[in-house]
Amino acid sequence: MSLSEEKKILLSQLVDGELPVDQANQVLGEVLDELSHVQGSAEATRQLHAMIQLRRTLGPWRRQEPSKTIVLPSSVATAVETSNSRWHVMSLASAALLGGVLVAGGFLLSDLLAGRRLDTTIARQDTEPTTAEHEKVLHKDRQPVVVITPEQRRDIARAFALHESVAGPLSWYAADDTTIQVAPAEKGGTMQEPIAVVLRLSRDPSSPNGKNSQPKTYVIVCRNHDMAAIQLPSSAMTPNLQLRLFSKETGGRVNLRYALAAGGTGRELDDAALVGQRHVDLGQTSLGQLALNDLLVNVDASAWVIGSNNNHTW
Amino acid sequence: MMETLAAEIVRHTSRMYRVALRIVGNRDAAQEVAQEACVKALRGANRFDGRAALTTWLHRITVNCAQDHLRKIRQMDRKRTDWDKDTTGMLAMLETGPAERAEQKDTYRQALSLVAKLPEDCRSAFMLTQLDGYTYDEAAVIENLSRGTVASRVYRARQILMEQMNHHRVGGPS
Repeated sequence: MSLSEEKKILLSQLVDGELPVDQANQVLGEVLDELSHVQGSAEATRQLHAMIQLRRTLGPWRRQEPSKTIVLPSSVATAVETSNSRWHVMSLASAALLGGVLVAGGFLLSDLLAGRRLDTTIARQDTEPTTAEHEKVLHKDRQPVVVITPEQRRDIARAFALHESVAGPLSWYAADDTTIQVAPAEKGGTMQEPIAVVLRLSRDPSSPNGKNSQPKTYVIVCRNHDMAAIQLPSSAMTPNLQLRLFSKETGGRVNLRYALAAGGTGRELDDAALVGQRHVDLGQTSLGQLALNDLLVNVDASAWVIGSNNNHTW
Repeated sequence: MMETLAAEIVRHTSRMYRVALRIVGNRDAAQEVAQEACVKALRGANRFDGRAALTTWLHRITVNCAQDHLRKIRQMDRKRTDWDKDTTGMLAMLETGPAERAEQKDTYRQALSLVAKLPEDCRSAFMLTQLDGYTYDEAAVIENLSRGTVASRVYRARQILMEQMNHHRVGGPS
C-alpha cells in the first residue's frame, strides 16, 4: 500500500523538526509500527530514511558560519538614536538601548581613546606617588608616562558591562575612537574574569612627524587564561593590524603574551612583527616597537583585572 | 538578557552570511555583505516597520546587499551572464566547496547542483529552510505564503531531489 501524499508531507516536516512533539511521536510511532509488522514494502521507513539522508547531506552548508566577527560600528548608533515616529515602542526601546550602549561605550572611553588625558597629567592612582616620584615618572625621558586612573578603569568596566548586557556574554571586546568590535562567548563555556588592556601605539619621536602625532589607543577587554585574536580597526598609522593576546592574572599583575602582525590577516605568532611576553600593570609598559614602512611605532600597554567576582558559567 | 535590536541582529548573522554566500559564492565577499547588511539594518532602523518580522527585513536587506555586490562585479566582468540567479554563488562554491569526507563530497556537490535546478516555486522555500536555516514559519513570512504551502513546497522539492539523486546513484546520467 503506497503512502498518502499527506503522510509524506508529515514525514518531510518531521525530518525538519517542524512538527509539534505529540504529532512527531505519532508519525514516528506509525513508522515503527510499520517496521514491526513488516507490512508491505515498508515505504514510510524508506521515505523517512531517504529524507533524513538528504537533510544530512546538506548539513555542511547549514553549518557554515562567518569567519570573522560582525562589527557594529559606534558611528551607526548615532543614526539609530535619531529615530522617528514610525518606530514601535519596542523598536524605540531597542534603538535607545543599542544607541545608548554604543554611544555610551564610546562616550565613556572618548577621552581615553582620543588620547587626551593620556598625554597630559595622569597621576592619580590607588597609591599615589610622591610629588617628586610623580614628576620623575611623568617626565622620564621627556615622554609622557601613562597611568590609568580609577575613573578610566571604571569607565572601561562600565562600557564592557553595557555591551555584555546587550550582546550577551563576550569573549572579548575591542574599541578605538570609531569602531567597537565584540566577540560573543561560546555557549556553555566557563567565563573567566575580564581583563582590560589599554594598547597604545605612538610614532617614535625619531620618525617623520613623530613628535607631533597623536597616539592611537585601543581599549581591549579579554578573558583571563583565554586567547583573543583581534583584527584591530585600521587607522592611517596602523593599517591591518592583527593582534593575538593571551592574558593571565598573576599576583595582582597581568602577564601578557602578545603577537602583533602588520599588513595582513591569518599570520601565525611566529610570523608576527612584534611578539613577546610582559608583566603589565596600570602603568605604561613598553611591548616593543613595530616597523611600519618608514614609521617606527612604539607599542605600550596597561592592563588590570576588572572586578573579582566574575567567574561564572553561561 | 535584555532583548534588543542589536542582540536580535547578532542572532541572525549566521543566516545572513549563508544567504549572502549562496548568492555571491565567496566567503570573504559573503562576510562583507553580511557586515554591510548589519550596518544598513542599524542605520535604517528608523525605517523598520515593526509590523514586519525582523527576519524578513534582515533577509531582504541581505539579499539586496548581495545583489548590489554582484552588480558591481558584473560591471567589472561583462562576460558573465548568470549573475542574477539566487544560486549563482552556490554553484560557484561547488568548484571550491568544502566537504568533510571524501565520500561525502560527491553527494554534497550533486545535491547542491540539483537544488539549483529545482523548479523555481519550490526551490526558494527549500533553500530558505534547508540551506539558510529558516524555520517554516519564517520562510512563510519571507515568501508571503502560508506555512502549509511552504511545507508542501519543501516536500515537493525533497521528492524531486530524492528521485534525481536515486536516479544518479543507480547509474543515470551525470
